[in-house]
Amino acid sequence: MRRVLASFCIAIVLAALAGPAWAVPSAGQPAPPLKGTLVTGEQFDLATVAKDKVVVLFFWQHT
Amino acid sequence: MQLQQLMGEFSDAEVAAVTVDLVNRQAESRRVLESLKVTLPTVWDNAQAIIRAYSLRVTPSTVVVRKGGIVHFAVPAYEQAVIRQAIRGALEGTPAADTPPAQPPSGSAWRWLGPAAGVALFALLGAVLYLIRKG
Repeated sequence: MRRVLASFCIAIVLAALAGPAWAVPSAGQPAPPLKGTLVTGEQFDLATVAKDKVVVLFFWQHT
Repeated sequence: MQLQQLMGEFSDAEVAAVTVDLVNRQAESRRVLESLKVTLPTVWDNAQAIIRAYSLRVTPSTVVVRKGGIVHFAVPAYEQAVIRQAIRGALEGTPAADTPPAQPPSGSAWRWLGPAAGVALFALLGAVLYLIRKG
């Protein structure tokens, strides 16, 4: 019975720590760095673009 | 393409948009984007670092970043009306709390579960089975 209770407690703790599966940065927090090469070959740096513009990031992946 | 149409509603001088392809293959990115008629700038490399930094587990996802680099809103979807309102909020300086709540992603219920929650469920299942076997 103790083992069952221990498993149950561990399950609850893990579930609480997990958070939503779609976790992305929270509102009000600094956006994580995002740098990369555009399909056109140019460099993109979120920090530079977001200095004076609102930036919308659309994340996707094709299968 | 809906994203293209949505971004067309805002001035390029005020709002920048970029799609981030998390598959990381330039030729395929280009082919898919062309087939979808997307001409928004697209980041195609550095995907693993971006996935880690943004804790991304579900795509599509959208993040609206305020001028200055603070996250205004994030949603695990491309919901046009919600994103439009979030962009307006970011432009007007509306507190993020006033933007619409994130909607659940469509699809399998498993997509809602983080890996740890999945482990927790299996532990729970194990406990139930143990109880049943013990009688």
